[in-house]
Amino acid sequence: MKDDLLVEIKDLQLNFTTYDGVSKVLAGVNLKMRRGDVVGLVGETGCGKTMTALSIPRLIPCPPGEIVRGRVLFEGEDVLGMTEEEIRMLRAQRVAMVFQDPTTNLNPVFTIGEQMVDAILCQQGENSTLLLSPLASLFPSTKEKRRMAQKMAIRMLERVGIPDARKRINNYPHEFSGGMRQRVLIAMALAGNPSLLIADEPTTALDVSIQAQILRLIVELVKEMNLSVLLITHNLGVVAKICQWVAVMYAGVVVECADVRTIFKEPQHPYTLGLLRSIPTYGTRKGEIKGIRGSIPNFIYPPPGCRFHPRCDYAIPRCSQEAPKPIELAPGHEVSCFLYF
Amino acid sequence: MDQPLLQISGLKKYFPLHGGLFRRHIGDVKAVDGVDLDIFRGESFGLVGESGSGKTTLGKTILRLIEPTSGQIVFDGEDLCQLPEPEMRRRRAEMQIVFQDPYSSLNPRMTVKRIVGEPLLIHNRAKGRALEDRVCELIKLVGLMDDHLYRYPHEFSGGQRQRVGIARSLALEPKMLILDEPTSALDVSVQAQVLNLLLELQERLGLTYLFISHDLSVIRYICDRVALMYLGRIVEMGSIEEIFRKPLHPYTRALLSAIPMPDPDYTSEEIILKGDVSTLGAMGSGCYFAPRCPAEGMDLCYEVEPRLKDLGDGHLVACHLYLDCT
Repeated sequence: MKDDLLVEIKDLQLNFTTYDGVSKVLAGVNLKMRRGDVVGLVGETGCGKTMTALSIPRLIPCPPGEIVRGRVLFEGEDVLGMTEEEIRMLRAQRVAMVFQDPTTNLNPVFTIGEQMVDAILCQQGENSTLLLSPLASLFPSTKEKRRMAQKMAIRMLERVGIPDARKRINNYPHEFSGGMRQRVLIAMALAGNPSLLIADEPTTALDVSIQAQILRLIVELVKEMNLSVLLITHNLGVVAKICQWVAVMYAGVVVECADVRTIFKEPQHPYTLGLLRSIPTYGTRKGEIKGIRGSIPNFIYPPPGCRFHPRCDYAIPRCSQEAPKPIELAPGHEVSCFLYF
Repeated sequence: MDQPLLQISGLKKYFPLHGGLFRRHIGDVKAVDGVDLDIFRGESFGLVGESGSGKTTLGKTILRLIEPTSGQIVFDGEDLCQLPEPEMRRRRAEMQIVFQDPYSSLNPRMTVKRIVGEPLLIHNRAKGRALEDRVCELIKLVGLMDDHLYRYPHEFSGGQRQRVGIARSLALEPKMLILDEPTSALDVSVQAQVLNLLLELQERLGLTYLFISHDLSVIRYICDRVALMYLGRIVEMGSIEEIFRKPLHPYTRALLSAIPMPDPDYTSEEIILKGDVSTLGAMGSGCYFAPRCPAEGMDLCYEVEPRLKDLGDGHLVACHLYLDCT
């Protein structure tokens, strides 16, 4: 049981120094992920979903960021203590990322092929500047390596469903539609055969019909490549569709963590409950959805105690005095709320 | 049935494409391509479609913020397309718009009081003390407070800004609001607050809504009737119950099946569409949806443009599959 733990984040606390003061972005995040799981990280804008995910490949910009406390373990290794070279190899070979906006994550002045070949060479640990430079084609040995990488790129593009990949590899990003660009990015991320894919709102910029295509692709790849996925999203529908585990975040804290059925059928934290009641679905009548009163708190002067208490309908005096610790209600179901003490 | 408040017929908006030597006119982007629809007093009419389907252009063309290429827009018995600009300005007071992005649609240098009061000043409706009272009243109507009046937009959250945008659009007591994706920039918990506010305002002020959105569940929550647009044309139209219970057009069916439901036990036959919305300019004859259609259409689909056909109960569909139905 212990060894198939892929990611473990323990009590991670992250501050950002800004002109207005110190913004306490993460206030003790706990997250566990086992190999082969598709975990959804859900929450509203600014709740720290992306920052939590970025801490795994240690991509948080420090400064202005500062990890005050906590540990991040990836396959049992302490990520925060790695050397630059070790972390570079972790990012290249073991953790891959796909971002929300497929347009800004591809370089508009290089063809898809050039970008993919560079990425694949990096993933293989090729570090020489010569190999990545325009002069590379003058040397037979590097030329061969680039040719192999190109073949690999075509194979990956075909796998993610780009028709006519052999030709399309010479196209520029603007010649692809949004959905196709997202496929290219997924192909690029998975070429190095990573153990973890972090997908940060991968379908938010896409239309529903394209979203359905991309989600189906991710599900297929998970099965085929023995991949684990950390899916960051604010869309609970997407979570219900492809995730097995869900962690709900609010204002820098994971408030509830459980398997997908429990989250949707028996949510325990008042915030999870409020979130689910906010979505209009089939059969909701006018005036039936509720929403959560108020808005997300300021992170420089966060509310004392539980950060949700000013918006919570069930708040008791204790909520404003101390922050609740996660409690295990059932195996795998953790809630941070004083209602369950 | 009584006279519709807004009656649109044959509305077209083509944007010219220039290219080649001397930047000749080489074609058109048909953003709105022959739209007919009626909106009745007091109803909420939803307009759904994917990005690039022409929803927003249609909304703006109705207000003549974009001049239509051809067609008729009859609002409250008067054809807006024939009006000279000064007269049109006065008429626009009766039909206001709320934009999608509450971050870019409010002037960052104005206080909330000036933002909400500006339409009243422009149309000479109120001054001084009366202006102040009216602005206060509006701000309270949308659920903000007096002490918000002297703040600037950056001091508000997204949901509060959208409330300011709604207050501004209500300043001139319009009969109709065009809501262009008013909640897509908001988080779900805040979206729920704004949607409930819109429902409450409609009841209190007897407003008519044209609600533009790409989110079918939001449309279902708020609207009475809905039209689905694909590449500038309406492909299906009908009451909310009809469309969601019995979608007819293959595009509507695919869209409905593609919405991810927040319920892990929900399973349905998911129809995944091939490809994506192709470029608007390069369009031949026939049904625009034919190349992506899962129904494997007939030759007819590529030759003849399907017309909207009434299948009873105000359920209209533009598809050759329903040619023989009455």
